[in-house]
Parts: sequence; C-alpha cells; structure tokens
Amino acid sequence: MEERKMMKNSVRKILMAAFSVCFVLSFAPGCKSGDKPKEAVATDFIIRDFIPLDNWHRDSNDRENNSKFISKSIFLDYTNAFEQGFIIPTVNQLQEGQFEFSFLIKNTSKTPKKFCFKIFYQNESYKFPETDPADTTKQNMYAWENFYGSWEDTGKTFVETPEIPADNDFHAVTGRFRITGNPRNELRYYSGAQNDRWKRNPRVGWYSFMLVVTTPANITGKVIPDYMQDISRVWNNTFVNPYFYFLHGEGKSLQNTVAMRSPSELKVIAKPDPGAGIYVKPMFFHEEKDKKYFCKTCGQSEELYKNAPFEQFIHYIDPTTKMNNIPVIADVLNEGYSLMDYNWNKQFYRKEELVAVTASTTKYPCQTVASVPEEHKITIKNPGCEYGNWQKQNVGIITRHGLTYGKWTVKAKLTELLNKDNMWNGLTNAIWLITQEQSEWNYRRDCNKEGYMANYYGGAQDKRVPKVGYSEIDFEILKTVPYCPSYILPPAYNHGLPDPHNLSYWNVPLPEEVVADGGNIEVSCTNWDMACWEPQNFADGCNTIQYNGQTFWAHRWDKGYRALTEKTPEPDDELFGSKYYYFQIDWRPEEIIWRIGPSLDRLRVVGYLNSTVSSIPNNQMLLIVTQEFHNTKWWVGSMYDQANIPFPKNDIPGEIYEVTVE
Amino acid sequence: MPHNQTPSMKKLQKRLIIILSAVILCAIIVIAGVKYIPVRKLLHISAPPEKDFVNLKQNSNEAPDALFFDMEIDPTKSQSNKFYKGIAHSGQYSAKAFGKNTYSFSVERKVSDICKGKKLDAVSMSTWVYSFPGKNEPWGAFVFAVNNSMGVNICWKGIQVSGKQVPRGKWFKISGMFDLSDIKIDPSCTIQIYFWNNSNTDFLVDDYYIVFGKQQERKGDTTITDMTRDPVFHSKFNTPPYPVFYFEKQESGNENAALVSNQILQGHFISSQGGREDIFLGGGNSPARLLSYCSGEFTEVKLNIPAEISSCLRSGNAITGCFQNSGNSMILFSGDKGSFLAGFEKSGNPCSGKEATMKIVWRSAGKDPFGKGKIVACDIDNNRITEILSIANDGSWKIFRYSGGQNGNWKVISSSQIVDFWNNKDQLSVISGRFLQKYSYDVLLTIFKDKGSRVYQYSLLRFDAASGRFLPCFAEKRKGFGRTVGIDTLKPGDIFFTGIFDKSGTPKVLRYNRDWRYDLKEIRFNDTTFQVISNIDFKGYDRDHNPKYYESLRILSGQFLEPGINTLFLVAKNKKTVTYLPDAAGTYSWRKEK
Repeated sequence: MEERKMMKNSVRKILMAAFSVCFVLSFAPGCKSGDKPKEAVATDFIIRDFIPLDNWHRDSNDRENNSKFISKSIFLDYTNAFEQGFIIPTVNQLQEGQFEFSFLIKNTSKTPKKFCFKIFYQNESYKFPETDPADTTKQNMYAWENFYGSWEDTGKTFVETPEIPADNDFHAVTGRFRITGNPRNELRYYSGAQNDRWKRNPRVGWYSFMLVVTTPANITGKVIPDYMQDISRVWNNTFVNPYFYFLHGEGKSLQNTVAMRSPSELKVIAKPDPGAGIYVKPMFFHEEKDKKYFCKTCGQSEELYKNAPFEQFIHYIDPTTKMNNIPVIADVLNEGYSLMDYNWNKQFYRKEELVAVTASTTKYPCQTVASVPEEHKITIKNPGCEYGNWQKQNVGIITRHGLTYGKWTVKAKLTELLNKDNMWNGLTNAIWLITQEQSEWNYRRDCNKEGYMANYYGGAQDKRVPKVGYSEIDFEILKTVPYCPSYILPPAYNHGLPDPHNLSYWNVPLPEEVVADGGNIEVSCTNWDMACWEPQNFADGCNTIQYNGQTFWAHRWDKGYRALTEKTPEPDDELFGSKYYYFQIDWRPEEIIWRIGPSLDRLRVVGYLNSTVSSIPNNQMLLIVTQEFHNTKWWVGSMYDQANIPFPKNDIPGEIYEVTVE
Repeated sequence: MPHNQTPSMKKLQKRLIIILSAVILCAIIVIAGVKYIPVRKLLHISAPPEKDFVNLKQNSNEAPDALFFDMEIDPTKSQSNKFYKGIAHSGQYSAKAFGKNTYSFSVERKVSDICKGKKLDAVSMSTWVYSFPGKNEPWGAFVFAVNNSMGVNICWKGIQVSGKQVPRGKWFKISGMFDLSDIKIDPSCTIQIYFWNNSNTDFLVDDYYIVFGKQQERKGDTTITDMTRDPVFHSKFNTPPYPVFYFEKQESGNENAALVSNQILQGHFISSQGGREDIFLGGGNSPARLLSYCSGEFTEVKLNIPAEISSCLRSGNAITGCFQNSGNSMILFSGDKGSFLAGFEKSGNPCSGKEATMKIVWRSAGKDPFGKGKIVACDIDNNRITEILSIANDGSWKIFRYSGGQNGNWKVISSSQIVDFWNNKDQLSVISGRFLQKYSYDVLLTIFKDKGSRVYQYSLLRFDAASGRFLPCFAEKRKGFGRTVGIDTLKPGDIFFTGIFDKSGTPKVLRYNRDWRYDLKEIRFNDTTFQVISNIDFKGYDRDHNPKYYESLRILSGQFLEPGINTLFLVAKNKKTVTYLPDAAGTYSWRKEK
C-alpha cells in the first residue's frame, strides 16, 4: 500500500514537473518564437491569425524581420518624451505613429453580421498575477496596478467590424493602437485639464496583446460591463484588469465572446543616450553667472529641456552632516596615502586647524558633468581643491523620465575608491533610484499596517501616514564594514592616543578582520520602504533571506528605520579598477534584485529583497549615478572617518557609458 | 477555640502567622528569583588565572588602553582545566565554556587599574569563538559586567551569539562596543569580561581583545574655519589652517651614518666658507665621522682625531662657529674637564680624499672662562667672526671673542648691566640668527617664561656696538616684547633655522617645535610680532616614512648640497626598532610649488 502510494506520489511529482516545465517554456520571454495562433471559436464566429504588430518589423534582438508571428522589440523614443510621456511607437518610429493589428474572422452564423472587437495590451514583465493566489476566480488585489491599456481614448469602447458575410471564409479585420502613459486616463495624473501621461509612463519589458471579439448585442446589452468596455471605469471602487476579466473572470464564459491572447509579444526597452545632453534645472541655477560652463550639450536650452535624457543631479545637503575635516589636501588614490598617514592626521591636528564643511554641490552647473555625443557617454568629476577652497563636492546625473519597475542596468567606470594601500578616498559611488516626485500623483501603494514614516529623514518616533511619495532603491558602494550578523558590529577599534613620542600609541593597526577585507568595498543594497510594517516578515536587526541558494543578511536598525540594507563585500579593483562594470537594479513588483558584473552575461546577485520583508515601491522613479562624500556617521562602524580623510587634490573622474531599462 | 484564647496566645499566634507568611513570601521570592532573575548571568565569580598564562607580556597589548589574552596557558597550573588544547584560534589553547550556564576564563580588573584617572565611558571587545557542531542551537554571549565595591552588579552587556546562522565547527570573530557614558562607574568598581554559555552547545573562545574608553577628543578649543557659513575663505592673521609648503627628499646617499651619532654638527670644517657645509658626526660609541657632499652623495672624509678629543666628543657639549677669521668652522667643546676649541687643518677640497686632521687650538686652564650660564654663539657685529655670548642667571652678560694666533685666547669684548629679558627667568632660551631682514647680522631671539607665570614671552635684541648694549628690536611702547597673535606661541624649547632655502634668495625663518607633535613652520618677524607663513611638511620619502612620524626627529639646516642654499638634514629615529618605520636620515630641499 505504502509503496503504491509512494509510486503514485512520484508519478504525480514527475507529471507536475513536466507540466511546470511546459508551462514555463510556453511563457518564457526567451522562447517567443511565436507559433501560429490557434483559432478561437464562438457560437457565431471564429477568430484566428491575430497579429498585434503587423507594421513593426524589429525582432526581439532589434533586427529587421518581416515574419508575422514573432515577438518584437522597440526602444523608447526620448524625443519630446519629457513633456508628453513615452509613446510606443512615435511618428519617428512608424510613420503612422501607431501599431497596426489584424486578425481573421469567419462568420459562422447564417446571416452577414458585424462584430465588435477591442485590443488590450498589458506589461507582462512587471505585473502582479491577475488572479488571487488563494482564489483564482477573484482578481488579485494588486492586479489593477498592472500596466494595461487599450485605445488611447478610453471612451472608445469596442469597435465594430465591417459586415462579415456568412460565406464560410475568413475575412481580415485591421485596427490601430499605440501604447501611451496613463492608459486608463486616470485623473490622478492630470494637471487641471491636461493629461500628464508622463506621470504614468509605459513600463519597460514585455507586452502581451489580447484581442476580444464579441457581438454588438453583448456591447449594447452591457453583457460586457461598462467597466470592461471602458477601462477608465471602476467597479466596486477598483479597476478591473481586462486580462483577469476575460481570461479568468466572468468574461471568460460569456456567450459569443472570445479573448485571444497573441503569443507574439513586444519588448520595450528604454535606453537613454548619455551623449544626448544634460539639462540643468533653472530652479537651482537661474543667474547669469551660474551659466558660464553651459554649452550645446549641457545647459538650459529649449532643445535640452525637451529632449535631454539626463539632468545634472544636485544633492540635497543636510546641514547636520557638517564635519570638521582635517585641513589636508591630497590625492589619496595616486600619492601613496597610507594608514599611517591617516592615523597621524587623525591624531595630530588641533581643532583650530580643522575646516568645517559639509559635502557640497556645484556652484557652476556643467562644470563637473559633461555629455559627450561622439562617445555617447557622460563624464562626471568631483573637483580637486586647493588651499582656501576646501571642498568635498558631490557630483552626479539623474534621468528625467520616470518609470515604474524595470531592470535598470548601468555600464560605468566610476572612480576607484581605494588606493594600493587600501586607503579610502572618502567617496561613495552610488547608482540609485529615487522617487520622481513626492506629489500625490506619485504616492506609493497605501501601507495598511501602521503606515509609512511621513518623511525620509528623522527619527523612529516620527509621524506615520498611510501614503507617501518617497521611494529609493540604492547601490551605495563605499569602504565600510558589514552590519551582519549583529555580533560582528562594530569591530573592536583601538583609536589610539595622540602621543607623538610613542609610535604604537597613535599608529594603531585596524582590527584583523578589517585588514583581511582590505581590498574590498561594501556594496550596500538598500530599499527605502519607509518602515511600513505590512510585509509579513517585517523585522529589525539582522535577518537572513534566501535567493537562488544564496543567503543575504538584511539589516534594519529599528522598527522605525526607513530602510533595509544588505551588504556584500566586493573587490574595489574589479568594480572600479577595470575598464567598466555593470550595475543592475532589477526592480519588480514583489522583489528587488541587485546584480553586478564585468559583462551582461556574467552578472552576479549581490542583494535580494522581496515583499515579505520590505514594502516594494510601485511609484515612478528616476535613476541617479553619483560620486558623493558621505558623512560616515551614516555608516556605523566604519574604519575611516570622513572628517579624517583629506580633501581631494585632483579631479576624481567617473564615466557613464550606458543606461538601459528593460 | 479562638474565643477561649488568652491575649498572649493570640499575640503568639499572630506572630506565628506573620513569621509563616514571611517565610512563605521569602520562599516565593527566592524561587521566582531563581527562575526569572538571571542571577547566573549577573553574578559570575571566578578566580582569574591570568598568572597561569605563558605569554603575559604579549597579553598587555602595545596599543594604549587595551588588553589582549591569547589563552596560552601553562598546563601544569591548577586552572588549566578551564582551557582546551588542540583547537585554538592562535597557539595551542583556547578557553572552554562547555555546557549550559558555564563561563570561560574571566578577565577581572579594578576600574582604577585600567582607566588611570580617566572615566570608563566605553569598552570595545572582540574574541574568536568556536561553536562545536551538534543538534542544539548555540546561545552564548561575550559579557562585559561591572560590579561595584559591594559586589553588586551595576552593568551587564553582552555580544550575543545565537541562532541557526552561527557557524559550527570553525572559528569566527565576534566584536562589539558598549557606550558606558550613562553608567556611573567608580574607580573602585571591578569589571569582568568572560564568555557565558547559556546553551547545551559547547563553545571555545580565544584571543580576547579589549579596548577601554572612547576615542579621545582632539586637542584644542574650537574649529575656526567654517566653509558652511562662508564658502569664500578669508585668511586671518595667524589663524590656521595655514598653507603647506614642502621640503622634498634629495638622493644624497650615506646619510644613515648619522643614525648612530648623538652629536651632529654642521659647518665649513674642511670646506671653504663659500662652499658646501660638512656634517660632523660625533658622540655615541662609534668613531667620529665627517661627511661632505661630493659627486651627488655624502662622502666620508678620513679623519685623524686625537684620542683626547674623541673622548670629549662622547660626552661634552659642542657649539660651532667661525671663531677665527680663517672662515672655517671650529668646534667649542665644553665638558666636565673644561673647554677646548678645535678645528680641522685646512685640506682645501673636501672631495679630494685627503685625510682631515683635527687639532685643539685652545683649551681652558681649569675654570671655564664663559661661566656657568647660557652660552650662545653669534655674530653680533657682522664681522663674520663668531663671538660667544655668555649670559648669567641674573641677566648679566659678556661677549667673548677668540683672539686667534698661536697663543690665542678668549677676550671679553663687551659686558654690561643686566638685561631684564634674561634676568632670573623660569625658562629662558636665547637663539642667535638672522631673524630680521633689516639687520645683516645676528639678532638674539629671547624666549622666556617669568617665574610663577604661565605665559611665554619673547623679544628680539640686537647688539649696539656703539653703546655696548643690547637693544630691543620691537617697538618701545611694548617695552621690547613681541606680540603673540593666534594660538602659535614661541617656546624656549623651539629650534629655529634661518637662511636662504631657495633660489629666490629671500631669507626664511623656520621654527621647529616638538612639545607635542612634529610642528615645523615658516614664520616671519616684523616690528611687532611674528607671522606664521606656512606649515612645513615633507615629500619624496620612501613609502610612507614621513620624517614627521618618528618619535624623535632631529633637524639640521645647512648648505649641505649647494653653496648658498640651505637644505634640511633630518635624522629620524624611534625608541625601538620598528620594521614598518625604520630609522632614517636624509636631506630635504625646499620644493618649488605648494
């Protein structure tokens, strides 16, 4: 008996596994060769050969390909996208400015008839499953957040076909559509009467297409309800995802209604060109003297305003991060600055000799950033300084077009952080995402347990609110120590004494574990979840989380702390000593994966969080790449104090070669 | 029956009830206490077997305010059962904490012994831990506890090691820091540091490292330059931070010969006055040497020194000067057996390879003619002959000049009344040099502290040959005192170097102070005060062997490499041999750019 049971179980397992493999293969984006669609049969008609992108001929590898039933790809066109949002496709990409779709319909009734049809699209890469995992007949509570749409004019419900003769033949029907922002025309994204489609830009990644064909009677008779004919409408105070309605919900079993999902999909990729210019916001710099470094590719021209994909990033400088810095100016990376130099400077300057500074930002935009069209790159530099002009100036760039979710990949050569003696130059290389705006239109999903901390700064006892617009996902790479497990923080430092007549008193070595990790920098991966307690495993302290056999330690200082951080030590020489390196934030609806690597096919995971431990943001964010001087008070247990690190003597350059979101 | 009881019986019964209740209450408290109060956690009494360690010296770490225990035990000692042989992070032994509620070796110290008058405001500690493999989940803590003089625990802190993620069967380090500033810890308190095992998993611990106290605050009062208030820096007179100028190391070779000498003198001993200066190395146990810069490196000149001089060189004081009009430098030695003046016979070209012979040209007949006061070599009248100024404690003074010739002798060429600046000072130094550009001869920088005063003062005096008096160079309204502006104060222990250091030909004044750290600055005197021009640092040294890092740095300034241009000859040493910072000597020249 027992044996038979076991055998049954094994067979079941094998079948399940085989089914899973088939299922995965059939939906995997990599397998989108596109078999010819099958027919969909209704009482009065049959549909087949639904081709969603009949006039677009770039295959998923961006090669020209005229095959009909294949998956395709398109790059977001940044022309004028700052004001109008992304449009897929634009008139620059297709003369008509719209995709053409077609299908064949056979009238199987006895009389000629018109039929009604509607096309839907949905971003498949970054979506919640349409059905509730506990009850597949119900819509997933977050499925309404998915990026789906139909005709741009949501008032245009279903479109009638010409009269289709009952001649037992298939007849071709065509239509047009394009993908734009705010596809449900939600008022949340309006400014007065203006639909700011850029506030809910189309997501990147794979799009699926679903054709729904029905009879006019089902439309006029509201058999297909208003909220499904017009996706801007809500039902029970929520939007109903048409993919749920027609594939899993009531729409699935409607008489004379078929929903056909094309196996061909469209991959949308955002690839802002770093050589296409840097815009400078007038809110920071409006006086004539501010403009002395402006040029064709960096400044405030109308052209750059409309089309530049990047802006110079101006850091917010928190005045409380003021520090009394040693008055030393040195090229830490190239002049052989050692731990002994650090120790002497740490001990033997009087307070009167120090220089009070905070990290600063540029006085002259375009002086420290440049867009190089010929090489399609952006260069940034933390300026060197001289006596009397002591500064630790942050530098960076930010994208201008918000996106929700995506695999954000940056190919860059940012500055090395350590010299050959493993001394830190005080910089943090950061590749991070930040909320596009904290306005109401860009609020995150409500936090339903205690709420979010209202502001991204402040203490654990600060006000909590159900909605916030702040979100941030970071790579911050610097010389510091790991936080976890908690029994390793901080290392037992001996800070020594300022006794110049006793070398061993002031020149104290670092703890052995710090020395052993000398050539490594910490890749800190952080999600600012604003201390929302809703995730089921929300916790403070050090906790592990598994991903593909890897264990990551996630750390939160306390339950009111707004961010969850994971740190992975990585060699500075490899990340910043090589020609370039890739940094990737894979921001998905229910997880965030941080990867780095020397090439796209050799990326490795250095951080992982999911919605069970941290609230994953769902608002629109921008990408920032910076080289910045942090006050090391932010990095508890660090072996070096920013205030004891010299001011940079020479410019410290960084270069950004590629930004891709897909 | 109760109503039949007498009042005394009632009383007795009442008492019994009270006693019984009290006993029951006490029993409940004890049971509850044992169950719920972590008595074992708080009170841990263990005799420290530190005396049983074999590496007691290593256990007192070189870094300040720290203890280190490597657990290497003498196995014959009674406490050795607390240690485990064979699995250790370092050496052979580690400390055991086997079984639930057990403790490892405990460090115990009186707070007064570890803090030496300072407040115990923090402790940082680390140890290596080995958790034996097994089914039980490990739970332990590296504990810092403080008991007051009554034995009552007033502080308990622990670095907890627990949970499934604890590595098993391998050594891992744990560490932490506890801020104790909120806890009142008297010097009479006792601290204990130990590992507490509160699980059925066995632990080993090794290599305790404990650091007491927080990082000391920097010296000084407050930071002056605030770029957050005004991003444009306005340099203020004598207000740091100052610009930094550098002396750069020159490849000159053979300088390390100076490392074994404690008497280093410079002068035109065998070279002519218009040539480079030589370096005379005497003192110590090694024979005297003379270095002269020839063909890109210091070359040792063969010496012929009479035994009589050699013995004086080891112990006596020496000053140099051109005491005769020959233009050559001589050395005036003074020691227990009197003084003598010696010089080298002229050899012409110091790079010729010829032997140089030192001869005594004058010796004191018993009593030293200069008295027991301060002796200063100076050219007070610009005749290019060095005179000796002798200053008595009461401020009276005499100027001697050597007459030269075969029966040469020291003659007093001037003496006068008491100079107030030199009279009866607590500390006094008189340095001669070209401190003011407007005088082409030496003036005397006098730095002193009056008895009972905490303030250092200074003055510049020049000798007026006409009146035979020393006159203040600073304005009369300040009674000849120089003003001190800013935090840099001239001190009697300061060493000054004057001369021309670069091709510009502008004389510079360098001041070297070693009261605390290395502090070499360029200063400039004017009619009322001195101005700090810059800090002086070094470049071009090997690795990170900046001369300023040494425990002792001797600086000489002279025309060693190039006639007319001063370079610094540095002898940098530590008390003990340090492999990462070996003793070194070298010459450093003024670097052009900042």
